[in-house]
Amino acid sequence: MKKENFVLIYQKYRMIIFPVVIALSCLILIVFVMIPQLSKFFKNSKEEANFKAKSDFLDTKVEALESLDEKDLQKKLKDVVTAYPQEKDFITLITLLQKITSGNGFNITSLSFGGDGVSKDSSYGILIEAVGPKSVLARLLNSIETSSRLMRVERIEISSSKSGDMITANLAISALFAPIPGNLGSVDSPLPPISKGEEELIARLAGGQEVPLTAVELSPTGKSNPFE
Amino acid sequence: MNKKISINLLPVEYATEEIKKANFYKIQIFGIASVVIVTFLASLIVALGVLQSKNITEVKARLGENEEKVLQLKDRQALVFVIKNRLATINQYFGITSKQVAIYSMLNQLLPSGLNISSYTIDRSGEAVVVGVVSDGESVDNLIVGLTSKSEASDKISRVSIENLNRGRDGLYRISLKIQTK
Repeated sequence: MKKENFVLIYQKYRMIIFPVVIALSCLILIVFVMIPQLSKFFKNSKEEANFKAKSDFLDTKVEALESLDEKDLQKKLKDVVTAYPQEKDFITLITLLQKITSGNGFNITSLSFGGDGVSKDSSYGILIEAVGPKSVLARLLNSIETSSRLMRVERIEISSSKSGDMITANLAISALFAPIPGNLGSVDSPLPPISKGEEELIARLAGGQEVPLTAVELSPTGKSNPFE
Repeated sequence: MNKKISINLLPVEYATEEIKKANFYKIQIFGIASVVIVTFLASLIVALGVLQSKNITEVKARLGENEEKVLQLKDRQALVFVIKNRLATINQYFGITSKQVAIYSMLNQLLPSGLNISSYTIDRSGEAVVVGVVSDGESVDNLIVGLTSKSEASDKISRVSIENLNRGRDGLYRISLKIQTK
């Protein structure tokens, strides 16, 4: 009975019922399938593009890293760390200053550590008193500032002797140093290129005065056994 | 002249029913076609989504491989970072003359040979104090003129002041100059 009723009703209103059912079906498909899938598709497209870009970037980075010679990098690191060390390098600095002053005809009469360095960077101060000819003082100052170890002349004090060209120069020098930074780049961070100018700078540093650490022999002072 | 006469003998109800049937047939065709098209589009989108998911998985796998390769080369990366970090500071100072040394060089050129310097101080701010001896008054004039009027001096020296000037029994002038630089 019920079925017959339905058939009758459908036959009577099929011009309305059929289009409504079709429209509802289409609407359901659009709302519950097409729109979410399309939205997911566009979202995934962006995500895919991001992953692809990141992968391409890493690909380039890997190529760049693989093209670098590790031994060459180690050598460059040694050169730059010698010029700008990670900690106070008293012995190297004493040796270097002795070498520079004697190379310019000066003799160090006193050397002490102290004073302020360059305020904005990590540095420590060295005060040297040296005796030598006035005519080569400019060369000495230049040698200090162009040496393979980063140093700045902060204060110059000169007193001349009454006779001759000899002077006593008191120089306050800042020796720069800085600890190795903690952040050495993440996987995503771009690889900074070493420019041609920087390569030349490293070559200039490497070609400077090399001061081997063994140059200064530390001789023990005082008794070998203080309780004797 | 032959004239065709068309007479519809079917009942009006039958004709109306036929028109309704024809209309419903059109609606059925249109409706089914719509459902088929929408279903096809929905299937296409789902298929594209599946394909895209597959692509994303592949790209993710490649990304993972590349990340792994970068991690294997992290020592080289660290070396490059440290070198670059050091070079940034080295570039600021290496081969660049400090203000104090530049002032010393400049004053060396500007101070006349007649001035017998007994002491010379250039402090952190770049202020110079020169104490010296000159043989005559004209040399004192020349010294001041040289420090204040020469073009290379006017570019770098902002002020020259005589801190002390006296003439000894020996006829020599002892002069103390304070030179402030720009």
